[in-house]
Amino acid sequence: MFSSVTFQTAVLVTALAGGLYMAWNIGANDVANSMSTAVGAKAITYKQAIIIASILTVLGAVLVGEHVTATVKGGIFDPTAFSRVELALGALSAMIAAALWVTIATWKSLPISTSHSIIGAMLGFGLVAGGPSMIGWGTLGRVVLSWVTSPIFGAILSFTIFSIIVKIIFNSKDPFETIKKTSPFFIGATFFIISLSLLYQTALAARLFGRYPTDFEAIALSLVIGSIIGLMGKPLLIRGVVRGDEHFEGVENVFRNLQIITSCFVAFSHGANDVANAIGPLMLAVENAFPADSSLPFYLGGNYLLLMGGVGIAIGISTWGYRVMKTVGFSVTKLTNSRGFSVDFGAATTILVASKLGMPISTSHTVVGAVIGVGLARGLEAIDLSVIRRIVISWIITVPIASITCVAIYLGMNLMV
Amino acid sequence: MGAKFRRASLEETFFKSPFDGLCKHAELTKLGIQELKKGIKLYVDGEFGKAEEHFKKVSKIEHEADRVKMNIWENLPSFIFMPMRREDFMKLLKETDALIDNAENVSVLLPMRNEEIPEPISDDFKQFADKIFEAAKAYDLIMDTFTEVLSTSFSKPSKEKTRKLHEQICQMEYEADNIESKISRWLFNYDEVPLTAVHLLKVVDRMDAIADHAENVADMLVSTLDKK
Repeated sequence: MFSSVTFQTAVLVTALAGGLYMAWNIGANDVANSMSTAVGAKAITYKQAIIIASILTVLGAVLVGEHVTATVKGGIFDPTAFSRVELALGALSAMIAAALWVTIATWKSLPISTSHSIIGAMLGFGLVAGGPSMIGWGTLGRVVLSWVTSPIFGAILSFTIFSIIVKIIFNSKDPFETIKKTSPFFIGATFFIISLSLLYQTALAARLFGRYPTDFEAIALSLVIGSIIGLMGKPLLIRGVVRGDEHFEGVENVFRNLQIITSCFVAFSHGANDVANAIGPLMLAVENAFPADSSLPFYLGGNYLLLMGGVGIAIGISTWGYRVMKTVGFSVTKLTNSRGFSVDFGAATTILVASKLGMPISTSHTVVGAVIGVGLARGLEAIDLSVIRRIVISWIITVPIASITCVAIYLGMNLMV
Repeated sequence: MGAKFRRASLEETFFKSPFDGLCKHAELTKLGIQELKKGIKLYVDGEFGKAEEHFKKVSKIEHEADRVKMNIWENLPSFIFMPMRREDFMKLLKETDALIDNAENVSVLLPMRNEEIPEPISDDFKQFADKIFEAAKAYDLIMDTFTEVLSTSFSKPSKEKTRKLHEQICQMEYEADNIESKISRWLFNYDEVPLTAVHLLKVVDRMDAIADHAENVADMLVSTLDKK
């Protein structure tokens, strides 16, 4: 019914629009939500959050976003078992289905995940077009497991880091002097993890070294980078920080500066994980819209699309995210800088590790897990545990809804093509 | 696009802290005790009219504290996770409330008979009142320290401060009890004006309850420190 050129154009335009919309939505909601901890704790202003998130999500997307994108593109089902048209239409249907569900959920303020939506939609396509035997159940099982384990891992990490802060700093005779002395450790730990994510089995590291660095080399180099930045960053961190009159005001002031670093970490890890939700199906759609023997235009190459996804997320933060940060930031004012630092560190580390493992997790749910972790360490005065029930409900409903919607869209598109 | 176009899992995680209400209640209790102290001083000096003005203020403050207590009571669902057990928090609130309740009882009872304190127990009464207000002052301090306990997630130094204040309150309460026994013994044998004896017995009993409840609050806070 369509000529091949019309088909390519239709897929390209729809996929780019869908991908950009998903990226915008991720920026407007998920990234903004996570950056609210730093905004609420007054570590950064809305404007600074927008600038940090815009730059760092793009970097995270381009430098570390490939792993999760690979899972979304080709891990849920075996792409070789489908024709190119099927894959293009399937990816397009999945993207539209996920975008629809994300829009409805956002409109209704439901705590659903874009990752769960896109995986559910891809599963729907795989099932209707190829049947259960075409599904990569092993990968899917690992992805679903990561949805459960990532908030728990975030909670364990934030619990641990906050307990360390209490033990080393708050329990000391002079907490202000102790935080000044130990601050390089916290900066160093953050940069160690970021460096490791960039050096451990990445194309970037391969380009830098001329080969993939060994595990030992990646860890050792990351340790060196973390240590150097930790020691060099100390004067900047404590410059102008005063002890203050209130209880532990000086300690919290140092953590406020540390939170500037962790908010960069949060934005970077978001870019690394969330960009796949927007770009994975987009890549699959455009790659298969063109004949196998034709070469893709340069702007449809992997890195350009990841860059586009990162930019889309940044646009989402700048155009709508500040409203979310304002509202959420107000409700998290009880999150002091030491707590905010622990939440950010726990969540961002979990998200980055998941990204390296290629697991498309819910970044927002991981942040909630990290908040609960600090609460379990007796760090917060009142946590509404009913949020766990709402999150579990969102897990249960998102996958079937996105799957069924994708199936309906795919069958409808098949009738048109 | 509606103004609330957002997914809100993080925002939903935070619940309004019931400790803010507890601190407000403690602040009102402090104000109430201060007014009672001024009122009793004027009463002992024989300035009954001026004393009554302060006693009336205590009643107003107690009413406000009751409203704060009810507000906490009604807005603390069971699914809220706090750094202390919900039941312990409720008991703590009940005890702080009993403290201001007894302050109000004294402020109502005392001006029911405007007469000088009998000479033989006048000094003891003043000393007794001093001990009660010292215990109440230590209660203020222990509540302030509790906010430090919360802000540092039960750090060792803040726990130590709480324990020291607990010891102080226990000592004040013990000393107040001793003076109360002495005053009561005298009053039970005061046959000249039995109504004065009954009146003052009731007053010292309520005043002593202020120190008792301050001690109970301190006991509860200390027992909370190591519970997880």
